[in-house]
Amino acid sequence: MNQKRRIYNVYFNTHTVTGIAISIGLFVIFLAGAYSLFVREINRWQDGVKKQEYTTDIDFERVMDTLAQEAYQLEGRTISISLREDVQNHIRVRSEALTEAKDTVKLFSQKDALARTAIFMEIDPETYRIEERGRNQETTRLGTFLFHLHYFGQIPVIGIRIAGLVSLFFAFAILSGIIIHWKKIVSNFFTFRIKAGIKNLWMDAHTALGVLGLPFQFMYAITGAFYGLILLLYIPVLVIVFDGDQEKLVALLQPKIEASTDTITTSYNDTSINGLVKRALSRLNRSEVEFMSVLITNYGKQEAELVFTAQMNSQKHFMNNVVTTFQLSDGTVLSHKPMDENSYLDLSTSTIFKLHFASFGGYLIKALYFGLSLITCFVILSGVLVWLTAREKKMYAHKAKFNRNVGALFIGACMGLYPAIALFFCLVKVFPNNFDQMSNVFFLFWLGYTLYAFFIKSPFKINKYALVLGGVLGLLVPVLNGLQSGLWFWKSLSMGYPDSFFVDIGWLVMGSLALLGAYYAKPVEKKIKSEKGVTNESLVKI
Amino acid sequence: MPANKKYLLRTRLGRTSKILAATIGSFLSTASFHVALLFFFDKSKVLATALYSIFISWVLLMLMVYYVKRPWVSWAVLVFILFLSVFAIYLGKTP
Repeated sequence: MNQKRRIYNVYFNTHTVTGIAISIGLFVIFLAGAYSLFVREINRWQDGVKKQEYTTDIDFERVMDTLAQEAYQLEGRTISISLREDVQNHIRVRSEALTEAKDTVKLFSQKDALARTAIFMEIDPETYRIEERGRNQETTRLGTFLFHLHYFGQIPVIGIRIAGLVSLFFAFAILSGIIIHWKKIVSNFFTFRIKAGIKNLWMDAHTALGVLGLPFQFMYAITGAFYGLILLLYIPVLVIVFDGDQEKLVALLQPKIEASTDTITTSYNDTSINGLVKRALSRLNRSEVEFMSVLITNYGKQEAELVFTAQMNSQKHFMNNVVTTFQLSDGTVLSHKPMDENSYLDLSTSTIFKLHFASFGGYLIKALYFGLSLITCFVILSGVLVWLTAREKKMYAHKAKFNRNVGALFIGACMGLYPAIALFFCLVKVFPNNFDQMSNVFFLFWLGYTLYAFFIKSPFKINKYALVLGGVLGLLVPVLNGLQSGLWFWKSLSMGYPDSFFVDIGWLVMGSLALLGAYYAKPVEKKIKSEKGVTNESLVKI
Repeated sequence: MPANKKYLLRTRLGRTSKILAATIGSFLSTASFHVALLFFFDKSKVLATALYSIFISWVLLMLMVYYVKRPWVSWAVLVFILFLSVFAIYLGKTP
């Protein structure tokens, strides 16, 4: 019995300590992450452009001509060309710098050295002109900015590792939380005590919604840790198993598809890149192609190969990759991987990717993910509030000030993000050309709200004002969008701008729910003297 | 409501030791265990599993560290796994 009680208390402590430690980071991850499910939609909303149909008609020869005119040495390169849809469709060309074999030392003239540098290029699919060069450019897109924010990408190099650690400890908090809650898991799932004191209210909300979102949250904890910390697996594998030989690890992770008996035997004389792509596409339903890319290895040499990859309709097929490899010189099919033949490694990596990015099942799944992310935000916030209200007894009086300060800072930093994001959406419409300054305003506002929360202390007021601010700014978003782009939400859908319409409507709904929540929010508990809280209803609707 | 202090470790040394065991210790033993598996089974399949199982087992080891009462016992479990894995890696590397 004593042992059981000890374990309960120990896990209770680890759950509380890890939970509080990661709370702000996790809240940012889930709130910004909820928005970054709709990166492309938000980016198109920002620019007021239509979604372009994905096309499989790319003239690859013209792309190669464009590259050749750029004085790059193409021979021997591995070049990848793909059509991407972001704000507008564009052709992306990537190629790593040419390197010599290890033992040879060669001196190149400056021109030759330049010709051998890496290629990073975006090309317009209509005119085949180069639109952008270089990489690591600062983004000027709101959706992309929020996507970076959701793994702390604004902190260079270590930001994503910190996010990975937060994810890992999130998994720990989830498991220890479920252990301490285990005995009451069924009975408490149906318990919601609204009038039995503020602590019980936060407690019930925390546990019920935590159990409800458990599979979703655990999935994100593990896949999030994968994206942030997978180097911790790769490095020991590389050093110990492969003695530092990176090529072997890459070969293991991206194995060559073995030649299958399933080859195309019809005679086909066109061995140009376009001809081979056309040939690969001929066995696919073109209208179902969602993404297409071509990888050419050892360009210009006898052993050059062309790897054609297509991703088919992701709503119909979970595993939707088709890969065909050709010998570039004579057009023989070296291998072909249809959609339904996947190795375990393919399954594993694609499942992690698809679960994390919700890139299956279309908008319905994404909407569900969005809702569950907000629920998770609420679980985090109510966890902090449980922690805070549980420490309002006399026995914690000696730490009361410290607890209240920490609580105010944490709740302020979490709740402040919501109006800050709403403000950012407004700002990109008011000052469309000053993205960098506006991102500074965003961070300053967020910091300002956190400091403000630190001074007013009361969680009730922090929550309520954040909801009011977020609600008003959220309702302003569609108005400012209408004024700036003329795409008012009552006509944008019929004009053919669904992205603009749905982002506007989303903000109308989110804004009015936040205002409603703020309106109905009352300091529910009179018995507890110092602190007050918001009614549960209001916060669920954030 | 907050955890009853009488069940928690009192010494700072004990607490630090457990935190280190849960983070670094658990990682070292789970990572070495996965690396050891790579030597004896199909590399591609082990690696594909390790992509997610390394994090799950890391977290489970964290839970183990706190399940066990005394810090040195949890260290003993971790070091045992580590030694076993290192021995297996040694066997795998020497032809």
